[in-house]
Amino acid sequence: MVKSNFFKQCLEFVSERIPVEKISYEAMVQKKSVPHHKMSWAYYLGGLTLLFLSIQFITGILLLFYYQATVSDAHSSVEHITQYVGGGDLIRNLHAWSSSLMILCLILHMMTTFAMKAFQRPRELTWITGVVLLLLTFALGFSGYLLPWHQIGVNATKVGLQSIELIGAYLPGELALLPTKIKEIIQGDSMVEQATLSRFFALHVVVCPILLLGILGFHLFSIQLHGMSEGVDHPTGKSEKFFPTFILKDLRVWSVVFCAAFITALCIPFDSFSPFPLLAPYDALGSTPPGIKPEWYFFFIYYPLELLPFWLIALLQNLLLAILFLAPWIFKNTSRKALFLITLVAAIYFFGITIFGQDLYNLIMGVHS
Amino acid sequence: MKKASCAFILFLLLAMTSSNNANAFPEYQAWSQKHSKRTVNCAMCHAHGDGPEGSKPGQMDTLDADAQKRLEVARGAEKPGVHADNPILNEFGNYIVFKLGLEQVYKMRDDPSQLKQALGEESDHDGDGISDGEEFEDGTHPLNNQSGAPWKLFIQNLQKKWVMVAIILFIAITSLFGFKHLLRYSSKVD
Repeated sequence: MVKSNFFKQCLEFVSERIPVEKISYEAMVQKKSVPHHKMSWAYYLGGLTLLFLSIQFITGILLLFYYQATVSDAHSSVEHITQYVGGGDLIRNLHAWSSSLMILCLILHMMTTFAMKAFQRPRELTWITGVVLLLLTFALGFSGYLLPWHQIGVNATKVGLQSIELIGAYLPGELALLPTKIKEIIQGDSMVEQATLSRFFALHVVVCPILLLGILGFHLFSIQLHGMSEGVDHPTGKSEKFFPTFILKDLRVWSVVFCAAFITALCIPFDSFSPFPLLAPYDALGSTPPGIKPEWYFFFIYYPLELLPFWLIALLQNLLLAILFLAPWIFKNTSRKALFLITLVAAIYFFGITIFGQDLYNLIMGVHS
Repeated sequence: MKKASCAFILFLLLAMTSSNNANAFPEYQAWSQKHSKRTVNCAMCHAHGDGPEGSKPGQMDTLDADAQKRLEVARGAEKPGVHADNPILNEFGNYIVFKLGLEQVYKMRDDPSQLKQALGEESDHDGDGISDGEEFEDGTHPLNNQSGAPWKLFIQNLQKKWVMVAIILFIAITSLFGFKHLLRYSSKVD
């Protein structure tokens, strides 16, 4: 009896979140509308993330024609793409710029979704798949950083993998060995070498993109099924048709943003922001140049790791992950005003530490020394 | 007598090691780093990022007989205008020696800020539009066209690639025009 009730509840939960009866051209396209209010601009962020993801796929496939995933040739093949392949520098820069812009849009999309309480029933699964997509995007960023096999990429990967191993010190008994095992599996060797590069290449071009496409498919399908969330406490009652009005407006934004991204990639090499010694081919016997850092979107965790005890950051990181996954239930009864304030604090922290993290680090370390 | 001969041998050994010394000028690197607030290493002028001393490719201990000969010739390039193909220097390092001569390079160690002016505006080895002297000041690599002050590269590339910029702007503007009219048309249909 108890068993059948449980299954009944499960079935009800799933059927409410995936209402298959709504699968129709009429409900998903013809009748779908987008609410019109002061936060309507936030509805474009998901689409922009999708635009940058598409650029990532196209430029990534083009880079695959020339890239060599071997320790001996990876750096020179990237150099060959940049210096000798026609349009190679543009494609590579577009890939690098759009990866950063995609993560920026994804983070903004998540923040606005949270502030607008768009995760509430029956959109819990849409939110959870969004969190998984964020983690997958971070995994893509982390694995892609190693591929050019330059000083900053290899050394930052070493630091990243070492931090997995450090978790073992805080786990009891046999569990303490688990992080080291995970690190070894990811690394594929006793140190960051050819096996690591091969694994990261496979993760970056096959595993993560396939998972991402599958989960993204469900995420978009779920959005189409449930429609856009109202997003505000007092709806204006105004709305516009999803098709063709919102789609055309979306395409308008896409053309402006793509034009800006294209000109940026054409004129500003992404590498110009990194000191040149960090972009030299990785030399296992040479000295490690100072200034090894992860990509900017990991600064929110990198600087605290440099300044605070590891156990505290590991704890906070896991807590944050749990909060993100369980947000639809934790903040079920929280008002939009309170959610907006939480988002504001999170945004100030994230962008503050990303922009001023180094200055803050210098200030604190300067005081200590 | 024994002491004197020991001292003579020690002197000879010192003289020999000093003649094998790489004569690096780290003052330039230190100045560039301080001025630009960017990480700069020996690879700006040298063949190896860790400098001339050592046993890695492009360093002193790995030079073959031919490279040793070229090194000796390069060390004699006291005055400007000598095409010295020094194996421990890169193209930019060799250009500095050609343009200024070792004597001048040695003198300017006390004030490396003079290097930009001494090299002039015309030398731009990587062709990124930023002169080598300016790249030295900015702490970016004079032989890598992807390395440069981002804003300066933006201006230079905008001038160089204006045709492509104009084409993409044209495409964006015509797209906007098209979408605007499609929106108008769709609202009329509704």
